[in-house]
Amino acid sequence: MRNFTVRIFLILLISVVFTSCFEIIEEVTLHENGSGKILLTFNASQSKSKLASVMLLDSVQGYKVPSKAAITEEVTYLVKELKKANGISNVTYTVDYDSYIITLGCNFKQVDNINSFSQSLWDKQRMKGTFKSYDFNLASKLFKRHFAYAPKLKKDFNTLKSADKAVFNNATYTVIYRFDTEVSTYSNQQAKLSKSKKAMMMRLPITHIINGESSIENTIQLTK
Amino acid sequence: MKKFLLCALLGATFSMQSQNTIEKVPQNANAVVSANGENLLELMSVVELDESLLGKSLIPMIQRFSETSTSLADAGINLNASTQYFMQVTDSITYHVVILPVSNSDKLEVFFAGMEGSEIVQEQEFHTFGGEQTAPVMLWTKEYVAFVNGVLNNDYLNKEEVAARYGLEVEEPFSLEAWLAENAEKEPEETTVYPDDTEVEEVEIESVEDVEVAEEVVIEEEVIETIPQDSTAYDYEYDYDYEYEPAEPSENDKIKKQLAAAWSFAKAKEYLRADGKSSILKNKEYRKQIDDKAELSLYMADMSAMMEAFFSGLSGYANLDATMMSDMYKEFSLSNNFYINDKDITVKMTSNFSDEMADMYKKIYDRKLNSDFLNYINEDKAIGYMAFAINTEETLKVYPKLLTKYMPNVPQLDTEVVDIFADLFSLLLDEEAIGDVVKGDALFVFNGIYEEEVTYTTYDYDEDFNYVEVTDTKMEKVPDFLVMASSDDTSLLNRLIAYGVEKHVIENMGGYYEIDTPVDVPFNVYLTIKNGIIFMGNSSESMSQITSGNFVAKVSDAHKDMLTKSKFSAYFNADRMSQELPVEDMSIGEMKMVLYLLENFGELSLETSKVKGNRMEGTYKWTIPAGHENGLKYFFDVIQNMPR
Repeated sequence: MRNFTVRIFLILLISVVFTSCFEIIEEVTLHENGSGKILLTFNASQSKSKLASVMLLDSVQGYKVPSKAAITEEVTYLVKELKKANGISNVTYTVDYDSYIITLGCNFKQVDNINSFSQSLWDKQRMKGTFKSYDFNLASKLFKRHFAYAPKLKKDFNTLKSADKAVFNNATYTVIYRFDTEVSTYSNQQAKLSKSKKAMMMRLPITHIINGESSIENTIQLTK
Repeated sequence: MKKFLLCALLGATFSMQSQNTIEKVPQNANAVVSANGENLLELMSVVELDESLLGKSLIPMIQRFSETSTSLADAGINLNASTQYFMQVTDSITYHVVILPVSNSDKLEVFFAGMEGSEIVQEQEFHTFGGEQTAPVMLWTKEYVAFVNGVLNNDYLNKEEVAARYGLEVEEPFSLEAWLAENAEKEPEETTVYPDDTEVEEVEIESVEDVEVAEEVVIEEEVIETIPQDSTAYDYEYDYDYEYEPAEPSENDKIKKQLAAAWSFAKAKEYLRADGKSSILKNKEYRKQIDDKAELSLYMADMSAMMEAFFSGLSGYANLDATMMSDMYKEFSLSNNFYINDKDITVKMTSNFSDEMADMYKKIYDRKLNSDFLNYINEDKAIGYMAFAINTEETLKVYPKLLTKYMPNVPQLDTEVVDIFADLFSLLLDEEAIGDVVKGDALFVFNGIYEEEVTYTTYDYDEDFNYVEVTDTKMEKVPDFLVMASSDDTSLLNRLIAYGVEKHVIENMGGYYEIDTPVDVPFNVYLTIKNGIIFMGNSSESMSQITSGNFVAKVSDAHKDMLTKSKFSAYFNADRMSQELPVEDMSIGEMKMVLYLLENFGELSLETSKVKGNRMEGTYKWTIPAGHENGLKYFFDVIQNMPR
């Protein structure tokens, strides 16, 4: 009875009291020789009250809640895989359960190393298709961030219950690119160029990306 | 037959004293559920029922077989009389029975024939469906319908002499040990081994700290297999047209099926012919517990037979539970009377125990809720509460006795081991000392939802989009709760607090303490001890008011009585909840539904008495919101007007 009451109380907190919100940051620093570093950050700190309640339960809204150990295991799996990947070095990660922030970063010799790693993960998940996020042409100094919008994403999202969709309401996706040289032109007008013209940033609501209203795709021409 | 059950449900809800269905219920029925159609129709007429959502969905079903039908009453069932469900347990079979009163047998037969699509045959005064008889069976006369589903007791039928009597083969009972042993010996016939081409070095996980791997990883040249984009390597084809063919029933299954049908058929005749001379109305205990004025009632006689039948019916290893449960529920009976009134729906529950169990419960519930708790409830603010009062010392003394009484009956357990465990339990625990620390009464109060400033981590970007982590704040809705428990000896807790303060896991906030909980919880937790009451909650304001003696309490006599005179009590005010519930993040549809349900829920309360004699009583009271004629119409109104 006590456990039942506690469970009901927690579900009440999760479902109707606490709000949820998260942000993802993709930060790429690209050097002239094509090498660079990437840092991915998942920050759910604004939802920490909700997540703390969720973590006390086995399942919520029909979804199994992973334990902290399972989350850490997933992250360390990625770290192991990254360490083995061709052209990847200096792998770092943090998992902070006080603020619910996870980061994963590494250095790469060329952006194709990141593409190959993403493709290998994609393949291991038995997903079809190619996974190519970045392109950099050393000669022309043209950097491309690929993003092929799949209408299935919107279709799948619309099958979610409204409570599940609400998780994405205020979620944002931020991309930051840093270069050694100045940016001369760029294709995505939602991106902002820094004062130094050597960095670009774009912050988009995740729901806009899912619904195809915005895209992180960008072609950036660097000065030669 | 499923369609019949729907009609039975309708009949069960609305089905004259001239047709006394209760006289068909045998004196020794183990469980009886009665729906008093006459009383229910006083609350809602047949015309009103026909016009309800339920009526509008069921009448077309009747019209399919009888075009002239315009009312639920046209199905031939007497909605103005009582309907009974009962269960009768015997050593070989358990009967689940529904008795319905008939108003017009011609209409009824048109309806039944249409639903079942089979011919109706007559044998003496009984009518039934033609063809092979299988359980469940349905028989009817000009006045009553009997639906009987017989469930065989496989354990009984598996006894050698019984099996021989019916030409059954004795089946080996399921043995978990044998199954495990058999399966452990089996080697898989063929094992597919997938080569692990990724030899991975074990990495020690440090959960929260940064992990840096500075050195360059040396990559050996390797062939990476990639999947071509048009690969169909992961496409599987399934034969969706495959039809599952059930196995041919064994000879035993065929005999059992015949037995269940024949016994159910014979029993249905017996029930329909019953003249009331040995009905449940001759059962003194039933008469004592069941109120004729109740709209609905439930009676469960000595539950040990029911428990035994249920658990042994599970077959095999569940027998250990059957024996234990049968013993535990010996002489335990239960009754519920449902009263649907103008302003509320009340359920009066009565539990009757054996002398021995009553004596145990008397000791366990020998505690009253600390009346000082009432100084910390403000009913203008509280959305709900839950309280209980047990005697911790006596509960700890009773527990080993229960163990030694029931556990040795479990065949797999050694009596001596159980005795030793029970003695050890008593020896290791100082029941009196524990009873002083935690007396056993507690009150949980849910005081609503308030806004609290919480911090979170985000990022500050400079003009070159370099960013640093910053702490920001936002207002968050937090539930306000307070838990109270009595203690005669708080010295241990005081020492724990002092130790926690020393180790910086507890912070002294000036009379009360903030606890750094070992498990992440979504709010701050505060603790204080005052006048033999341990307080725990998440509102620093309430804690401060408690310690300074400025807490404003308000409790009406009704709540005071409910809390202090009950062993277990609970209360929930849904309307107040609807006023405080944050709906900003809900979709419009969700918001409409949640607010509609809460605004139309009313108040719910539960209270239980102490054990008097061998009996314990409890009352559930659902106070319905204003604007409804009575509790029954309230239900129909809520369903009818639910946002869609």
